[in-house]
Order: sequence, then C-alpha cells, then structure tokens
Amino acid sequence: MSGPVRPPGAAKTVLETAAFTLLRTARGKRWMIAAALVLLPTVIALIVRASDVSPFRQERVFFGLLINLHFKLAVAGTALAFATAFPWPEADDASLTWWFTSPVKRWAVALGRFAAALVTGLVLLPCAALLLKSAVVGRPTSDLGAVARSAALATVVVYPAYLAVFSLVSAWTRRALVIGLVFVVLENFLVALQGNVARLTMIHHVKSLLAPSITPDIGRAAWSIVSRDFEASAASTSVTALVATTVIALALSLVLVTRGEYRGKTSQAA
Amino acid sequence: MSGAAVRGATIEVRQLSRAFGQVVALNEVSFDVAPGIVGLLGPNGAGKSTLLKILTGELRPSLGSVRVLGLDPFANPEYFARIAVAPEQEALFEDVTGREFITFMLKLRGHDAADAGRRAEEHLDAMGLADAMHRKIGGYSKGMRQRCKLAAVFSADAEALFLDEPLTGLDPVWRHRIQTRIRERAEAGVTVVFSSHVLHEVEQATRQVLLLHRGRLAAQGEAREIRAMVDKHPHRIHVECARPREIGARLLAWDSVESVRVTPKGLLVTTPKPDRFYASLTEASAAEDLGVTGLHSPDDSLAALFETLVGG
Repeated sequence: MSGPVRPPGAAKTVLETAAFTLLRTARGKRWMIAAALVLLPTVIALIVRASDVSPFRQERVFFGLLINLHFKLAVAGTALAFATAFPWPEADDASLTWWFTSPVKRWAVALGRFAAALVTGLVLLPCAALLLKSAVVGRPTSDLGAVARSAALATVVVYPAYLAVFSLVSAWTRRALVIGLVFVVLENFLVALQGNVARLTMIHHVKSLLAPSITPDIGRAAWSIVSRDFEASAASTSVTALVATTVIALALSLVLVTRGEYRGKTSQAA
Repeated sequence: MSGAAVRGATIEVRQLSRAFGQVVALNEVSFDVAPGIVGLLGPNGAGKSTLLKILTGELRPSLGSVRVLGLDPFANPEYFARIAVAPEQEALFEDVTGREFITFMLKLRGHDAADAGRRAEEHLDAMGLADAMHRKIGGYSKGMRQRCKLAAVFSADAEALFLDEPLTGLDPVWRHRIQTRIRERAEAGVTVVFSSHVLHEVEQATRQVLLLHRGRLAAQGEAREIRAMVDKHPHRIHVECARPREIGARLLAWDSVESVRVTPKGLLVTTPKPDRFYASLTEASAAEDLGVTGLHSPDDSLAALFETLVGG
C-alpha cells in the first residue's frame, strides 16, 4: 500500500536524474564517442606539428581545426550524441517505462537528462580548445592562448544551444540523428553565404565571439583563411542569440516530452 | 465484446480504442477490474502491450475513457505514485548495478538514500540476487534481469501492479515463487494485471481472464472455461536446458508429454496436458538440478483458440 513517503519535487528529481545519468554516462560508450571527437583536433594538430611545418602554417591549421573540427564537428557532434540518447532509444528498449511511470514530472526527468549532458559536454569540450592550443607552436608574436581561451568561453555558450536544439528535435521525432546531421550540414552551407542569412547560424556567433581576440598581431592572417569576408556581430548580440536559442529550444523540448507519446519500435499492433 | 461492470472496480475501461495511423491496435474495448489478479491474455499482436501502456499512462486512448484507482493515467505523477509497472522486454539500465537501479527508482518515489538502499537490498535478496546486486545489470542472465525488474516492482508497495509477461525467462522454481508472490500481493488487496500469451501462466495466478484478440476483447471470464477449449489443441513448450538429450529422454517417460524434439537451445515439448507438465517439471527441478534455465511457450495453440472464439 502507499506508504508515508512523498515523491520528490521537481528540483530534487532534476538533481537525482542528472546524478544517475552521469553515473550511467561515465560507464557507457557515448562519452567515449564524445572524447574521441574532442581529442581529434588535437591529435591532428600534433601530427601536423610533428611534420615540421612552419609556425604560420601551424596557426592556419589551428584556426582550421578550431572552427571546422572543434566547433562544427566536436561541439555539434557531442551535443547530437547526448541529445539523441533520450527519449526514443529508451522507448525502443522499453526502459523509458521506468522513467515515465515514476511519480515525477516528465519535464523534470528530461531536464535532469539535459543537465547531465550539459555537465559532461562542458567538462570535455572547453578543455579540448585549450588542449588544441597546447599542440600548436605559432609565431612568437601570436598569442594563440588568448584565442583558445575565447574559444573555450564560446564553447560554454554554444554547446548548450546545440544541445537544446537537438533535444527539441529528439523530443519531436525518432529521426533526430538524421535531422541533426542535416542541420549541421545546412548550417555550414548558410554560414558560407555570409550576410544576414549567416547570422542565423550558431557558427556565425561562435566566430563573432572569437573575433575580438584575433588582432593583427596574433594570427589575423591565418584566421582570415577560415573566415574570409567575415562580418562579426557584437559579442553581446551573439551571446544573447545563443542563450535565447538555448532557453527557447529547451523550454519547447520539455513541453513536447511532457505531452508526447513515445512508443517503441518493437511495440506490436493488431 | 464488452465486459460487465464490476462493483468496487479499480480499473474502468469504456469503449477504449487506440489507433496508430491506419492500424487499429485496440477497438472499443470495455471492462472493469476489481482488486485481485486479472490475466490479460492474447497472442502476440493482440493489443496487450498497447492496452497496458494506456493503463500505465504511457499512451493516450484515441477514443473512450480509462480510469484506474479513480484517476486518469496519462502522464499523471499522482497516479504513478500508486502503481508499479514491469515492462515486457529486458528493459533495464545496463550500466548500473541491480542495487543502484532499484535504489534510484525508490528515490524517485520519495525514499531517502539510506532507506532506498536498504529496501533495494531486501527486495533483491528476496529475488535471489543478493550475490549479484553489486554487479552491472548488463552482465545478468535473462532470468536475473526478470527477477531484478520484479524486485523493483515489488519494492514500490503499489496499489496496482502491471506485469507484462513477468515469467518469461524464469526457471520453473522461480516461476512458482513469483506466482506465489503475486498471489500474496493480490490477497493483500492489490490489483494485479498480469499480461501473458501463455494461458497456463495466467491460469496459475488467477481465474479471472481478459482475452484480447486483434485489438478486441474476445472474452472475459473464468480461466478454466478457456482451458477446456485450449486443451483441444496441442500445446508446445520450449525448454531451455544444457543437456537436452538426457533431459528429453526423461521427459518422454512422463505421461503428460506427447513428443520431444531437440532444438539448438534445448527441447521443444508437445503436451496435451500443459498444467500437469509444468507441475511435474517444477517438482523435478525442485528435487534436483535438471539444468533447465528457462521456459517459453509459442502461442500457436492459443492463437488457434482465438481464431475459434472469434470465428476467424
């Protein structure tokens, strides 16, 4: 019979869910995928460095890896890997039943899952930007450390935005992985167009956050190779855009999870 | 077919229909269930899992209404505080230990960490998992996973239990123990919905049966009436065991066994008297270790019965 215990409130549910998910993540395989993505730019930079290229070319490689591998692949890919883990895969193996028949709010469970993915990404990804810098030897006049620190901060702002957008897609459809990949490809296409269309992409705002740290003394020539004709938005505009994307996408995903029906592929019908 | 209204019903289903696109999984199903055990019986694809998911608040009805314990089930935490659900598949979190899993589920029910841990250990111990509770669930056998799921369900002290194929993968001794445990809960006033595609399993637990076939309630009533019809059809039981030839030779000597065929995972036994066969196997397994690790029953005989019932 029902005992005297009362189910936890939303805040405790979020914390318990996040802690349990982090425990599972630490023992699972998804963090290894994320770690591999995160380490890839550094590994490539080390290979380039070992091949004895000039400091200027190493700077070019640094900016190329930072934008194209770190932000476009590692940050977006890690967000996609974690966001698509819930709820559809768990609906398919029926373990979602344990979450969704517990006496707690669905949105609190989803927020706990989001928080766990956020913590994991924010531990791994900013470090990756700093690690990448440590693998590069630029010209003596170039302060790539300042750029790496800006990249780490930009990661802290953009990763939650990617995670929230992909969580929204995951709450909506089981094809979130495919849609997420299309999103990343489309974003790359749009950012290359420049102008106002490019401002709709998260990569544009990442570049805008990096731009102030890149002066003529520290690698503007190298930076221009990955950012030809780039017109940066104000840093405050970019931060606002990314934070607003995070909040709106996350709120919508929590609404969808609360109202949605998640029926596994193996469920049978007459 | 509609079931009769029952005084004091804890589950009230009225004209329930559920469609997935063009596929009608449930079609105008109505019934009431009072506290005690009710068997939800039907071949695979009959709509049992869809009905259970509606009763457990994971899916909404397309049409009709469902009230359980006086509440609307869908996404209702107040309702979930009073029920417990064991899903059919091997649905557990592979990366955590049995103790961590049940402790977490109890925390979501409001138990503090110490109490949740203690209760988790008690219930895992009762399910014969004392030695395995600190191992990851990913390393559990099918039977251990099933017992771990049931430990989670029993630890919840719920007013209504929804068990989807709860005996699948269990050896004869554990099947008997779990059936006894379920009966004890029902005698204490708990409503238990026991879903299975195997009549014998349901019959051992309860006399009250709901028969689903192709999304409709084909019959509601006494299990023995269904048994009388089913016995006209041969019954096949797959026995998973390590020494199939040796065990098969012994089984052939039983009068409840018609034929035995060796398969890659064990034996396929045909019996005209499945209840006697199950009873004999449980007794023999309790007396000595036969090496039987699981029992599965293909639903051919039951499917044939349903075809008869609905004139298909």
